[in-house]
Amino acid sequence: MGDQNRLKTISAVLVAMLAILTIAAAIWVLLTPAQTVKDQTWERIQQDGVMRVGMDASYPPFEFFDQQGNLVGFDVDLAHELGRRFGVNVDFVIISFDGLYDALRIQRVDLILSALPLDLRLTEDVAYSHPYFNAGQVLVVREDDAGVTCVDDLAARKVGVEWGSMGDVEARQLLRRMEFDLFPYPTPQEALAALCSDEIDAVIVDTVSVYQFSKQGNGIKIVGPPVTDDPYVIATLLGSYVLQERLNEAILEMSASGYLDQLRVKWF
Amino acid sequence: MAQQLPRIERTELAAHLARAMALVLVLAAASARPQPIIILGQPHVVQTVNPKMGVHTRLTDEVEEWKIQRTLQLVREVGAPWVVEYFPWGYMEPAKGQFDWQHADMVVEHAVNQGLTVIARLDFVPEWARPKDTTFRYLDEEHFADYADFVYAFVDHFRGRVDYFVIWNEPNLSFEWGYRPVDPDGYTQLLKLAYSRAKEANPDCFVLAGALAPTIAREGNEWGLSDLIFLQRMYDAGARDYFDILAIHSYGYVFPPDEPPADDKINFSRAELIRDVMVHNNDGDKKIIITEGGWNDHPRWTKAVRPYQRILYTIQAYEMAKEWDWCQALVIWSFRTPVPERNFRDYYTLVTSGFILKPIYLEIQSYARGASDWLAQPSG
Repeated sequence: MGDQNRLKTISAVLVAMLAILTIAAAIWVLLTPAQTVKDQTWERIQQDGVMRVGMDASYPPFEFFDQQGNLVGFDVDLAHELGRRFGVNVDFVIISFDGLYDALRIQRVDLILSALPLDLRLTEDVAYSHPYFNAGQVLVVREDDAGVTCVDDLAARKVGVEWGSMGDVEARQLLRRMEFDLFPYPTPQEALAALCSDEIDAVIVDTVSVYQFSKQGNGIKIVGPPVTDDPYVIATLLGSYVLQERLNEAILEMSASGYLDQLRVKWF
Repeated sequence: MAQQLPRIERTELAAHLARAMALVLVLAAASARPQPIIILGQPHVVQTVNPKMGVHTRLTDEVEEWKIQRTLQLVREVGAPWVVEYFPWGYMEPAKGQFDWQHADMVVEHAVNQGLTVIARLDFVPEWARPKDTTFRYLDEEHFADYADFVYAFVDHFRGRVDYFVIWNEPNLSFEWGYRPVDPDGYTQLLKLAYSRAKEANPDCFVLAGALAPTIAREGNEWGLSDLIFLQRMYDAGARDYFDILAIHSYGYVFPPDEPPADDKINFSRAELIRDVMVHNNDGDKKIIITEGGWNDHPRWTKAVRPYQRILYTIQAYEMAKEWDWCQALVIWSFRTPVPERNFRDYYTLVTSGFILKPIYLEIQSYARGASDWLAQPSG
């Protein structure tokens, strides 16, 4: 009996000590100030008041030099808007496309904003923002055509593509599971013009070509989900945590507020 | 007198024995040498209307054997009998005299099985053959003999399977010469050594000099030297007797293949000017092989054409090569890469990394199968 009582006492003491330790640890965790994430890129941007944007200015309408020699385009406006939101100026560092990632790695620039396609292979080296533009292939029909809402409706239709393009690749893939007449054209504009003149029923073409063509009010519309995705993103260094967060917040907000749509209307 | 086991115990014993035998069989099967998943199969022959067609396969970094086989099957099926493949010295001789031919053997076996003629590009300096902090393109004179030894070993190992060997790559570009000023005399010295060792290993092999890059850079340019000048300087240094075929690169950029050549222009027909230099040096009997060339259809690259132009220009170029009696083969850059590069280089390929055939592949295939309407303009 005496031994049993002693064991009970020891157990109770141990449980009490464990409880005290747990409570103490919880209090310590709660009272310790949260460690701030260090982001040298963001700190430097804030300190200098300048955000350095890597860009290959050879891809209108995203980034190019106009006839007066001014750097303009969708991405240029986007970069300025980001700078405004971050309260800093933007310094554009013009680099050929192949050199953009190296420039980021050696911190010659703070970010890459240059119609940059997402590259999953590089996600161990750089961080990508949310997409701000999808340049993939889409299905286009006449505005008054309610019969085609996605690629599954293309059976027995006349479908145009730019000969040899990725839209052509996708159309040939679709032909393996359904029948339709494929009409290749030398350029996307010619394929879209053929759609407008009722020569064909639909076109599979890249988004940029559609936006550029439909700017003239040609009575066409994009239907269904994108046939392929080619998201444009902003790349930063992996350690630029704060910058990444701010970019993502800004892109989501610009998308929700319609700012990205305004840019599209302005530049296409 | 032996005691008989009760009936129930005999049944249990039999069950135990059966299980033990099954286990032994499973273990035996598991430890047996696995059957190869990829089977070489019967040898094939390339069917084509143009035996000068070729593609650069770039299987160097392709790890999976089925992808190597599939790539080379597709090359045969497109109707191209020639392939150029890169065999990096540094991959195959990691230490002096220690060779690892495993991957190269795999590529060559599948290529030969598909009926393809392999042109082997040999360069890429291993670390042991160059100073610290130099690039894999850097080969100093002290290690020329090491390179020539590798050429000997390679030619010897692949004797009967590979007969064409390109000595170095684009030596007229500073980048390809280890970021040093280009050196036609130095390259010719390297060529002489490599040629002698290659012939020692296989007197019937073909040694290709070059492959010269198309550039209009003049003397003193830090990035390179005009292919025309470089070739003349090679002849001046005594290169004529040390190569059997000249390898050149011939890109069209934004020009059609029949755009006339000029000293100060880089286009496909620049090959004719190279040929003139050879004739001028009494070397007109030798053939040229275009070991890289073609057009790009990237939507943003300033030196690219539209996809339909790329199709037409490529087939026209194959036709031109067929007419050029001094051109032995036109090998276009490039067939496929193991993974997408996500830049303009993806728009040189005929097949995606995921083996989706691009329209240009199908059009070239139609041409190689004798279609006569390949020049027909598309709709519109």
